[in-house]
Amino acid sequence: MKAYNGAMVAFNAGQWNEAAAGFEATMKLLADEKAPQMPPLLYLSGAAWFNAPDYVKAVEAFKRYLAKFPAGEKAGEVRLGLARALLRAQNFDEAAALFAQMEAVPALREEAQSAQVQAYREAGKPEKAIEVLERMIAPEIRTTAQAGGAITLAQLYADKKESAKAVALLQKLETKSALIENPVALNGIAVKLGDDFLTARQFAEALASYRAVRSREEVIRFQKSRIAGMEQRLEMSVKGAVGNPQMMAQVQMINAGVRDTLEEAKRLLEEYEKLPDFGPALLLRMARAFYDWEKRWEAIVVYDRVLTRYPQATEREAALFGTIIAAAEVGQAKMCQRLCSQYMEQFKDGPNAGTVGYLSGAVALQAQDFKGAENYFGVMLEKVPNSEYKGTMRFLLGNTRFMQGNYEGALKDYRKYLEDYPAGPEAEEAGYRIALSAVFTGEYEKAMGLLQEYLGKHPQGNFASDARYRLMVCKYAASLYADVLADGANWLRDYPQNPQEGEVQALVGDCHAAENRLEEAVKAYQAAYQRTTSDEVLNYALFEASKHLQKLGKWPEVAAMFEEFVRAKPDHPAVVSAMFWIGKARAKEGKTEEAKTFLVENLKKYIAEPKREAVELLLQQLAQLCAKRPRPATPAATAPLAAGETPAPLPPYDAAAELAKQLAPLESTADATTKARLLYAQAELARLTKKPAEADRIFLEMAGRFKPEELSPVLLAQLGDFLFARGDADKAAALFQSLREDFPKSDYLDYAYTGLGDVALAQKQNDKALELYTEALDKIGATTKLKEATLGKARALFALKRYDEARKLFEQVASIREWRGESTAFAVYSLGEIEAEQGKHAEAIALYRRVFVAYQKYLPWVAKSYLRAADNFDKLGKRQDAIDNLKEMLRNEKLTKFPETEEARKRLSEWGAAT
Amino acid sequence: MGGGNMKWLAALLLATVSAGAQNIVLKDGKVVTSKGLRRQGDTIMATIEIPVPAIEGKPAHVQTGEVGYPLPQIARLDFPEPAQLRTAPDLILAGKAPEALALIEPVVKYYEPFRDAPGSWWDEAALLKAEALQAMGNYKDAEPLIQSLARIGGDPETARAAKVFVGAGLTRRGEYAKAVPLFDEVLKDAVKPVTIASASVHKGQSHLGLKEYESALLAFLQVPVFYPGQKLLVPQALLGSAKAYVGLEDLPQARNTLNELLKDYAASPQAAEARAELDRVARREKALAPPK
Repeated sequence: MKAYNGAMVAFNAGQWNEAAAGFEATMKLLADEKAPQMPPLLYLSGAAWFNAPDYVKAVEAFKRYLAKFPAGEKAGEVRLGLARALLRAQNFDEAAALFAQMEAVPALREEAQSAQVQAYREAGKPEKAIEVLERMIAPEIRTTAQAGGAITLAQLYADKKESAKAVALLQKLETKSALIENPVALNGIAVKLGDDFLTARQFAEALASYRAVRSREEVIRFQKSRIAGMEQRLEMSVKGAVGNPQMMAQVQMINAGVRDTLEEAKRLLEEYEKLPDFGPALLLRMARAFYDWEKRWEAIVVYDRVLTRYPQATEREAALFGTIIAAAEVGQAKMCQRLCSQYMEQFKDGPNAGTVGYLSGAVALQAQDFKGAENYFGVMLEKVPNSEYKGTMRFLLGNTRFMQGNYEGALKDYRKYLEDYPAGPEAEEAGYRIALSAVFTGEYEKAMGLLQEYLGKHPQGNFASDARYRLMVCKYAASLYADVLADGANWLRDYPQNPQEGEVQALVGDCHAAENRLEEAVKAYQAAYQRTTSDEVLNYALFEASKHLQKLGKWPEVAAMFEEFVRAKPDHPAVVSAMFWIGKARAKEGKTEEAKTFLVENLKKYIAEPKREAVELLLQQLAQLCAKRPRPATPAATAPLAAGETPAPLPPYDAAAELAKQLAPLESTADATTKARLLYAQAELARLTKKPAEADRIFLEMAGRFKPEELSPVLLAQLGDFLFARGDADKAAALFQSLREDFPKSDYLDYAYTGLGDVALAQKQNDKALELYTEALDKIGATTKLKEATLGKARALFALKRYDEARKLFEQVASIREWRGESTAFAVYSLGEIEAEQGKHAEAIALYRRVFVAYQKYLPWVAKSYLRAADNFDKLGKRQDAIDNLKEMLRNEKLTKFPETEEARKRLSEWGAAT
Repeated sequence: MGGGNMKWLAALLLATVSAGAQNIVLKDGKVVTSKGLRRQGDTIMATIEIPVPAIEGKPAHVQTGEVGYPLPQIARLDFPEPAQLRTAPDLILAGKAPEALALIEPVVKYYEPFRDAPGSWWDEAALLKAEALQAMGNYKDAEPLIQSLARIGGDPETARAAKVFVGAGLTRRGEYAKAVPLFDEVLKDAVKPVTIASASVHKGQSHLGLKEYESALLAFLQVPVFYPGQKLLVPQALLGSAKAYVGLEDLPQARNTLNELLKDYAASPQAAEARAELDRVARREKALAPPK
């Protein structure tokens, strides 16, 4: 009894070896192995050896218990203790087998499974561990132990390269963050998996893995709270078992495991806190995944997060550089340039400074922003003098200056390039461009020397054909026509099918023309327009050929040439002029019918295609040809009139019937677009034959019959204007909208923006109107509607009370000679309104007076100006001047029908000055 | 929605609003297991079971009674998460906002008395209700709820979420420039993915309104890039980014994004608009193509 009591005291004091020895001694005192005191003594002895820790002896004690008392009161706990002791004694197979038996007990299930996993892993049997873990997390992860099991399982899957299963588990764990006790391990697995996927170019899976990584703050918070929880559990469990030796034995056995885990958790946290934040590096991995996946914008989003969330991170340089590259690849020139500037400010000496410097200029160059490119290359050559792109930047700087016509600046750059890189990759082009600069500055003699020097060095060079052509240009300037013709023949022999052939042929034509060999000139010009790829050369050569043919009186050839041109290039802007000449040439021959037939044949091909904007112009030409009575037959065919005889009156000519006859072949297969266009031709004819009411009727019919999507850009523009003028703003807006949306490349786009601006202004949506007019002017570059857009913008600014800006625009309108007319009267009147609105009545009156003195023709503005002048006199306290002004107005008979006149009478009556 | 489904909904409501233990975790660590909780002034009343031993021939039995705990003593109320919080977003996503509203309203009502107590699910439920109302276009009823959330929301994150709704209101009214800084403020401090994703989507919409397509795109893409799990917001973000791509004249990318939306979120409320947008992209492509 004394031994037992001593053992218990030692046990309660945590003196395990003494306690175990005491229990062993007590058992020896018992005569009967089956004595009722034996089971608790064996149990306590095993527990004491376990805690000592002496697992071999613990195993012995527990095994003795189970052998003698397999159904003993503590048999369950003893089995568990034995399994734990076996595990710690590294007897993995036996431990795993014992734990497997315990899985059936719900209370022990998780521990039994965790222990099996540990045992199998220690025994190098991952397959077995996976089997247990898959059982453990099924059907749903609900406990921290299961979450821990899932992390281990993900790790095992990753080790086995079963990545899909691992990612699925990580995603499942993302929704169970409250259950995760070891986020550090989870992070490690997620990153490893992500990297493996990225290497295998499985981007979606890589990103899913990276997203499963917890942030540093989350991990630290988790770990701290987990440690606190474990410490609390240890304290509470010991407190709860005081006074109950058997319970204490059990608690201490459990706590041994908890303590191990606690120490491990503390160690992990300490190590983790020493590590730098992994966030930026992880984001760079994500960005790379998106970039390699060709999702550049997504990569930019990730890089941006590095830049905004980690202002001190070393990864910022790589992130900013990555953003620049991605922005360049998505074609965001401005964004790219902004970022390049940011890079140069923050990482002037960064590892990518050279590339960034080059990129900033190259992107501007690509966007045709030569001035911007010049600036960037210039600055970068100074800021990054040792850039690997220094030579290229110097050469491109020269090119940007060359493109802007700054040949002197360009020459300096090219020379500097040749000085620094005489054998550089751009040396040949630099030399060639030096010669070209002389050509463009008109220094032909010097240019000839430089071009010959270039050709001497590079007879088969990349620019030899152009250099030889430029040399001919210089000789032409020196009137050396024979030389040019000889050189031209050689050139054409040496460079067949060369895209520059048109230019050379045109130059040959010029030489022949200069020496009055018109037939040869025509041939050369015709060859030039047929072979050139340049619109400029085509226009020049075509109309030069026509001019010389006319001089030669070869009208049928003129018509034939233009007909061939129209057939070959039906969309060319010169088609309309060509049609004019065809008509004129055929008329000269008395063959207007042939011209009409030709037009109709061409219309047949293109009339159903709304984007062919030349169709309306062809229809106009056709209407013009039909509007005039055809010339009578040639004089030779009719008998001469006798003296005193008057010619027989010509039969009446019905232009509309003639047009209808011409259009008939187009009507047979007409779709809606064609039908609308045929009506347009009729309206044009009505206009040409001075029947405006008929023209309006046809336009109204078109507006009613056709949907916007059936109309061509020209019809949308003209019908929109027509309807708006008639007060149908909604229908007009629908047409303009369709023009804007469906034909963004139309030459008539300024109608859409200006028309929509007019509609918005009429509806008092002044901000919107201002935006639309500004777009018309700045974005679309309005040409036909330039005046209307400028006036509209001025009106919108006035309505928004932005008087200074409005004044500038009205003054601009009033000062343009080509716009002189009603818009001038309106602009001057509006300038008066601006002054009046700001209480500058005298200045306003001067402007109103300018309207009714200088622009008397524009009666609506004259009437308004009289009335407003009177108002302003009255506001100045000059009632008599106001009365005199109104009386003068009433004397103007042309104004009697205007409502302002009635208003003037009313005011005079109110002021007791009725006439 | 047939009667059968409604019955299912009702059954689910009955089962989950009142289900589970409702414990009070006191600040001293003690946990009070209760059969039910109610609010009385600043005190939470817990219905608890008290075992009564056999006395004088009466068998042992269990008696119920109420014990009150003042709010300042309570660390948190331990309610189980209502299942509706998981179900309702899926319904909204499937274009069934009225069903979602029917599901979530009883939860809001149930937690109303505990809305300022830690551990209450009122904030989450009320935010979902506001989301459902907005999806139905019922901004009139959503507004006061949002204001209430902003005023008395239990935690700072709820106040941020409410601020996102306020910003969304400004965006709807076309006050884009005012809305953007509000979203930026939220994004600076927000920690919950749902708050960040929501603020990003609405910020993107404001930038769209301002025709700032690059900023719009960067805002919208936050969701699929970092928070693809926010299923309710992904279709909105995809639609928004497609519109931003159109603004940037990147029509192929716009088309791909819209197709992705229609493939993965065919039943979402954004699907119809995505189809219309796809038509717009096609028209635009046709408009930009050279003549035949």
